[in-house]
Amino acid sequence: MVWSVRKILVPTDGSPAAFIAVEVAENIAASHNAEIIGLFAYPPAGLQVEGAAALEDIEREIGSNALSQMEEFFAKTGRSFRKLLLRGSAVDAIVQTARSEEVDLIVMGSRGRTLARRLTGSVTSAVVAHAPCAVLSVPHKKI
Amino acid sequence: MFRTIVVALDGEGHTVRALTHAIDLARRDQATLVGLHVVDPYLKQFHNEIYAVGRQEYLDYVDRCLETIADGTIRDFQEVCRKEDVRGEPRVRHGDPIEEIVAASDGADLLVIGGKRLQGFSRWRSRNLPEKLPALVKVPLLIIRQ
Repeated sequence: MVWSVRKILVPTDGSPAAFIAVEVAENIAASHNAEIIGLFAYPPAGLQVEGAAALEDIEREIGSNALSQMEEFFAKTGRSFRKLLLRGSAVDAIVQTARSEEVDLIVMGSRGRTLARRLTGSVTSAVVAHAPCAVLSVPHKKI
Repeated sequence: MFRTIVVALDGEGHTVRALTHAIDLARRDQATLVGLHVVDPYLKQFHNEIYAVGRQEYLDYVDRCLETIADGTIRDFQEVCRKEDVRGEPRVRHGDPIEEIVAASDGADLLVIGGKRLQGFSRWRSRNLPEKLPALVKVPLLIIRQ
């Protein structure tokens, strides 16, 4: 009974909870010699109102920083790592990337950065519902 | 990394698949694998609707069925653990599956569950553990889809 894990997708929203998931993903990747793909998705500015484009820029900046932090972490561990910064909804981006990259496992934090996400846990639940592969949900303050 | 792994089992195909993944993880980390089966008394609540046969007869029948499923599930778990050389600990709890799984996972390093693909009416009717548990459990949760 061997579970082959070759690719692990680690979505991040830049929150501390997401970074705990990064550490867990590294542990699993180490025992399977797997590659890790870091993903940050930022929502497109929906309305053409003043400041919307600036908000999108801020989200992109947060994503870029979060992915760079992951890149530094995996450079230290010697893990094979790729990063993806995508424009779109987090759930769609995660599920579509999992399909197109044929990942074996998604590792993600179960508490998000925003209040709405904290209240609903909607991203994790929606990913669990639609993911084509196994999902490891890592709670905040664990491991 | 994982010293104690809990895998929720009900004997169905999706939980058998979860068990194969849990076995692999337990073997890699030399972890103790807890095979958890929850005896769910859900069907017992309908005893008042049973008129054709005696109510007690119905309750006894449900109990016998649940016991048979629990025995089979635990026996299969122990056999797989022995075959795969993994330290296995069977555990049976009684009650609501979500509440019992959350309680049993407390203190473990990982909880593994299987998940069926649900659509339409079955999605609405199901208690849908894979989508509810991430918000409820305090430990990492691995969901293995069918």
